[in-house]
Amino acid sequence: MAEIDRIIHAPARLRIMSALMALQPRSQLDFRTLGKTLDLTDGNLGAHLQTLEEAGYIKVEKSFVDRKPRTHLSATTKGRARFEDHVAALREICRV
Amino acid sequence: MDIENTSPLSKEDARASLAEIDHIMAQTRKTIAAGSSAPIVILWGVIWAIAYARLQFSPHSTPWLWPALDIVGIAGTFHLVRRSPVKRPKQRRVLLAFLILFAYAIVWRALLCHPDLPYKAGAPAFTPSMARRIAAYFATIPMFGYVMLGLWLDRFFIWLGILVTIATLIGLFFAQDYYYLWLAISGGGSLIIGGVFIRKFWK
Repeated sequence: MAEIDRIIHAPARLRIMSALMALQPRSQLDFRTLGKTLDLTDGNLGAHLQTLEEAGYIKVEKSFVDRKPRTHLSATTKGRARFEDHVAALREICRV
Repeated sequence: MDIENTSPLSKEDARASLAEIDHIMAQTRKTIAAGSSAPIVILWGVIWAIAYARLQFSPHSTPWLWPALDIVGIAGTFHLVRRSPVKRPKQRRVLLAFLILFAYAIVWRALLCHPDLPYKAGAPAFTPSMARRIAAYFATIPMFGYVMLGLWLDRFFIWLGILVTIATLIGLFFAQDYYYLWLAISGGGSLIIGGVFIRKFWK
């Protein structure tokens, strides 16, 4: 039986994971675009990303594009599996 | 709505969470299309509009225009992909696939239309009618690529590809003297309007 994931369930983290799950596996989304899409401040977004990264649900990669630092984020295989489990658990609750 | 405060989760909360997931996923796909695909579509729309308009009003004066604009388009596309908000593991392959598609089209155009090839002996020269069909062929080749691309990436590519292909065929059969202008406006215009629409409303 699927279970609600405590880390993903927090509203901001649920939205972050949803956005990253909209990408194809191994695709990465820019930090600034994610913040704008979710209407989250850099500080707030950063804090939630750290929690998700520590749980191994997302991967954070820093690089330089045109000499400017860019941060790209992607959901890991573990993160994707946990998210799908979480969604399955939500659907089960709706069916009960 | 933290789990510690809401456990056990109610049906309403679960439904709200699922709705929020659907909403964010759809919004993210649109934002990605607006930030990464739309600028490329606009760039190629401008290139089409310039090249076909020039072909309409001054058909023989600038044979270098299409190759030159293609080079600008390819370089611009690489630049836009580098600055895109999303990095896809296979995006270089997508660009390479388009280059291969164009190379294939150019080779076959040369094979089918070259007047010096032996099997063409006695056949009519490169007529205006054939030039129109060749223009339609080259206009629909990238649109075929868009439709294929849309199957894997952004869906709007499918609709854009079909729309421009239909517009091109309408022009081929019905836009007599202003065929190239039709291609500039309908093809280039559709790409520009499609790209601007997505950039403006899908952000």
